[in-house]
Amino acid sequence: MSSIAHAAAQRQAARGFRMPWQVFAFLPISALDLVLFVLPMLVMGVASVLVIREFHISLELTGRSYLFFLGSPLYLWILGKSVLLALGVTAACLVLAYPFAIFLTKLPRNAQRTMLVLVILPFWTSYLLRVYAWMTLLGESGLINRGLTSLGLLDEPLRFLLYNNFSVVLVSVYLYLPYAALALYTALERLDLSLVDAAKDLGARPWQVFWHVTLPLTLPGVFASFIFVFIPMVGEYVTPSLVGGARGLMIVNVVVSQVQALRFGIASAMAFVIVALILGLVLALSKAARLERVFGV
Amino acid sequence: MTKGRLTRRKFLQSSTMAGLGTAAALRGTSSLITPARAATLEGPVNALTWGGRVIQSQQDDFYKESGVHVNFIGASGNSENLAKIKLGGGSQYDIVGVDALWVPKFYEEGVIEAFDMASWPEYNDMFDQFKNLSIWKVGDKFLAQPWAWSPLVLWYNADKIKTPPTSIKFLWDPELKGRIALTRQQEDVIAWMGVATGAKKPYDMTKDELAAAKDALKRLMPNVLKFPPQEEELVKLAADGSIWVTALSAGGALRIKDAGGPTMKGFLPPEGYIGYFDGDCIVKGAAHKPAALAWMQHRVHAKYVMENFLKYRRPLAYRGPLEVLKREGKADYAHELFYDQPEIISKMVIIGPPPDIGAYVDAFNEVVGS
Repeated sequence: MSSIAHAAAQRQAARGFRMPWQVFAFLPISALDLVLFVLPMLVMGVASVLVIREFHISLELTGRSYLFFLGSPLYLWILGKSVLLALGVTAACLVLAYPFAIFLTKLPRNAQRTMLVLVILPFWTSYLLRVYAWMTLLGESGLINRGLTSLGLLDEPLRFLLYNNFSVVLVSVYLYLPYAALALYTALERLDLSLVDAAKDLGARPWQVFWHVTLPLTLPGVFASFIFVFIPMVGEYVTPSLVGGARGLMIVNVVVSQVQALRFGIASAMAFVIVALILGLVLALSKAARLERVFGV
Repeated sequence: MTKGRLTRRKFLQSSTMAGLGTAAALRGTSSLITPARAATLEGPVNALTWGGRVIQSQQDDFYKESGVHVNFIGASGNSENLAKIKLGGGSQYDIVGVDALWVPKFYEEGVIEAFDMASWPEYNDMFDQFKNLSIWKVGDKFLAQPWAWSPLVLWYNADKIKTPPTSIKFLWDPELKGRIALTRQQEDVIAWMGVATGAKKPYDMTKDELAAAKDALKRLMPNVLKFPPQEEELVKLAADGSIWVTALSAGGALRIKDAGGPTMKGFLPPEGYIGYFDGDCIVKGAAHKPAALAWMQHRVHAKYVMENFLKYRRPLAYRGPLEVLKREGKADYAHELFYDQPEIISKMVIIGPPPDIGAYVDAFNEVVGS
């Protein structure tokens, strides 16, 4: 240690321990997090391991709620289906958002700002309105069907456009695409272009530049996009309810149905398993992408 | 030179004092405006209840008379209401809207209390079916103030279905592929299937009856477009022609027509049909019980009952509007909406909580989720 650093450390020790001011900045959000997330999770955790019959709780520990869920092939299938659907939507968002984000970074500054405003423009209207707008587009008597039939291209309206998994994916991709695009844009903005130029100078082809330089260096953006899209998508309730079909049962619908059946223990266990699964997937992805190397920690 | 300069601390201090002063002044003013009201009734009345209650002009009139606001909190289901009342109790809610057979369940759970209604002026206007409703009574007191009732009618698009149905079995007609929608109330969907398969008590089926109902739902699935969570969406789907058959209360055809939809005709299957009657209950330990009871008396004045009927178009538990409609030569309209046929109530399969709701929910999920 240099003498200057040593002296500074001595001065700090002489003054005693002082809480950095940044800690206070975190207090309000931490308090909110504690009240609105940690405490409810604790309550759910306790509820999931107690014997609960409707509203009557006995302080007897049990794993029955977890066994009920994990022992039910049907509910596991619905969980798997929901995760796959969420992964599909996330993948579609990434594939669509990445080229768009690259395109954004290539634009002049003023044009970038305009485009960014356009990206966030849908957020100015309500989420529900945006879903209903899609329903008026895709419905049997919606704009697409009316347009095609009036042009004489169809005799009968297309019925596969709405109320099935296709419409759930389509509308969800539309809803979550801006989140993915913004996260990727931020990562691409920070990219050191001299590294890209160096790769090109060394004879790398464009796809090699992308695969070996751009993509690895923007992995934090990809990871952020994944989190922004995948996590809320697994818990999506409204979109599948509105644009999904009769068989569009997602895992959250199942949790809600358990609450309606006054099976609070099972609903809590299901919610906990979903949280654990999401956390596990996020951690696994973070490990697989070796993000700590990208972040430099 | 700091004298006269407004520092941040001074600014905050003075604005806080000004705010407190204004609040105190406003309190004083409001008590000057309505001293008598404040002394008699304390509000607001918080009502967790169904949508078909809200008549803004009535709320305004009640406020003018009593100085009490009525806050409506939309209810989404009986079991959810029960959970909310269990958690929130009388400190958060004064009134809760409950369906027919759920009322005794709420009482058993200790979340509502009986009240005297026989002395209210509008009591005599009530149909006898409701006055004598033993499951809603504890001694001479009532557990709920009866409000609306209706059979759930199977409404069908008369332009698309030319031959009027004669049996509930028409729902399984392959011609109706993807043309039916029912609300996502799992136990009601399963109960409908129970009606179709001849279950004795569709809301309390045996294991074999439940299995038959599940099988019927499985066979029905190709014809079901979706199970939307709200009734309003059924109206929309029928109006835009996406579905041809749905189950809605009396007046369903009118609501669909109003939404720009086709002519719908109603059908009450001879095998049986589900129906409901609902009421509002006083939450046990309600913080504003006197105001809540005053509101409940106010809402059944003939004028408002009529207004409610014309707005929501399903029969109510009070005769008043029926007599007015007859006098105005609208007896046919009242008949179309079953208002003059309260005897139907005894023929309906009344919506209620199955003893094992979980079994009904699992049966529904097993078919719909597979």
